[in-house]
Amino acid sequence: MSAHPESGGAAAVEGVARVRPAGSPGHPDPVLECQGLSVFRGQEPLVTGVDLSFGRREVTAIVGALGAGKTALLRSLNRMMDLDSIYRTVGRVLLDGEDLRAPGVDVLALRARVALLPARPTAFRMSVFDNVAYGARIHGLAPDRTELERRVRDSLQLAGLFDDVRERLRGSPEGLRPEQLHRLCIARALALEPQVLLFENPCQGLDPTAAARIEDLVHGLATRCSVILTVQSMQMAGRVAQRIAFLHAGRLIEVNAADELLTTPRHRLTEAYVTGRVA
Amino acid sequence: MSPLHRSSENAAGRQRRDHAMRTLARAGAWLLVVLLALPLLDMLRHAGPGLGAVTFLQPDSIDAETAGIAGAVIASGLALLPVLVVAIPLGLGVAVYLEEIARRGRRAALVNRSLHHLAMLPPVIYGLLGFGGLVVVLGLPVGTPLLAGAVLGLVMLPRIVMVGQATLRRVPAADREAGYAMGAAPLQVVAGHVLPRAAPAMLGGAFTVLARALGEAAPLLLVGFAAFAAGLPASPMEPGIPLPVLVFRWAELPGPLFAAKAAAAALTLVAVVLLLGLLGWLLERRGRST
Repeated sequence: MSAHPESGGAAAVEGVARVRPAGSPGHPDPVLECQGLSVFRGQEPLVTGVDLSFGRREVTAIVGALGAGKTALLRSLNRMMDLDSIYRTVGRVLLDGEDLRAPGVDVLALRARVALLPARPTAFRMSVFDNVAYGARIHGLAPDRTELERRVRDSLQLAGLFDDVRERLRGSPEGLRPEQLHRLCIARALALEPQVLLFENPCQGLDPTAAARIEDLVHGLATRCSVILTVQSMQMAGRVAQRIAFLHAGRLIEVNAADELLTTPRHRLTEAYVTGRVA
Repeated sequence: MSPLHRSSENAAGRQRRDHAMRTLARAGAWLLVVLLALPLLDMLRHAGPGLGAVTFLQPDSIDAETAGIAGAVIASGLALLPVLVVAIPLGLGVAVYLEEIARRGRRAALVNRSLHHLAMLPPVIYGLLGFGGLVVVLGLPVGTPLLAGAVLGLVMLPRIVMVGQATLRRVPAADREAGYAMGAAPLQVVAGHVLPRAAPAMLGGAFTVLARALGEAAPLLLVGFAAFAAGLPASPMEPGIPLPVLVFRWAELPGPLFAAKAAAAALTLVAVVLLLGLLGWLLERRGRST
């Protein structure tokens, strides 16, 4: 195993130490970039000085133990953290070079471009069709009924749910199996035709067979958009993602191509996590 | 004695204690039912001579033979209108604002604490406030259902806000998140996701509040409702004594027939309050199932 650089050079950004992680945090074709990103809950730091780029049309997994700061980092990418005033975000997040925190940024439109799928899939109290059409409707993305129906059909097909719900599009989503509910929520996000899809633990609450099918689906979505997901399992990250960012105690420890990070981790904490010695 | 045997003895002991606790809890529950039923039975026993058609069909009178509760029932119904039309929508609106729109912070915490304390204030204090604010300053006519409704609205407002907040807090956070994650605006999330989930419980809560308002007498006595009002009020501006005040007034009058009629009026009040509670529960259940 290679040498373990404990940390790189540190620089102070708005009072927060930035630590250069092991591996290659930069990306030649980034869709999203975090620059010195820190998130606080009150005075408690959840994410500390993260510099990280996410590649276009690829799957990046943010891996770490419970409380590592994965969710806070993921939710900062479409400003979902702003919803609760108890959280404070410092640093920059760039989407195609545009600062998401700059004054005048339309946060609602941003969430259509960078759509988030929370860990717990939730169907709205409306028909299957209306569930999938919801985002396109509120953002005015479909100028007419034909376009709306096209978006709904395409999204359901892409999410692998169309055949299951073809006969009950106007019916309630009640009674859908957990896997189908996951697919419904994915279809709802896909109907926005987002640039980036953020997944919070995409397989949470699923049995291993259903989880494997959802993993395949998430992996395949990279042909349509950039995918960023949080996950605790390094094995799952290896199956789904092309690139893995490992977080520990709010700090980005290592970023690298999935194969490389899993086989030759450069940081001792990454190695410990990969080998299961640190949970 | 084998370890397994010792363990069994231990388990038997724990089961005995468990059984004793269950019995105690069941006895406590039944005791509560009996304590609630006793006053009702007592009222039924005393109401006998007062349970005639005259009591239910006639307005109040100084003559015990012809005195009835019809005017008071209408006055109570009219007094609930301001609660229903103003206090409940306003209270639920404040609850939605505080829970869903206002930013969390010291100011919100201060408002919430204040509401909690206001809801705990005895209704008599609202009577004083009603007399000073509604009668002296605003000049609302004394002894009318309008004044009764305004005072009851004041009494109930903090409770309505708290009921509204409690129902909104029961809506899973995941429902809101799913909306925000799709780029919905706060009002879209509230109107499209939170309120439809909370509505059945809010409706049930509103009926509970109406039932409580219907039974309030103390704040009304302070704004001049102890007086006599004959006739049936045709509008909230005409004189009319709400039912709980009538019960209070009749109970104070001499003579066994007024006492019997007070018991009959109290039974009617209890029946209407229970009916409102039952209606609220049914509507809440129906709302949840759909």
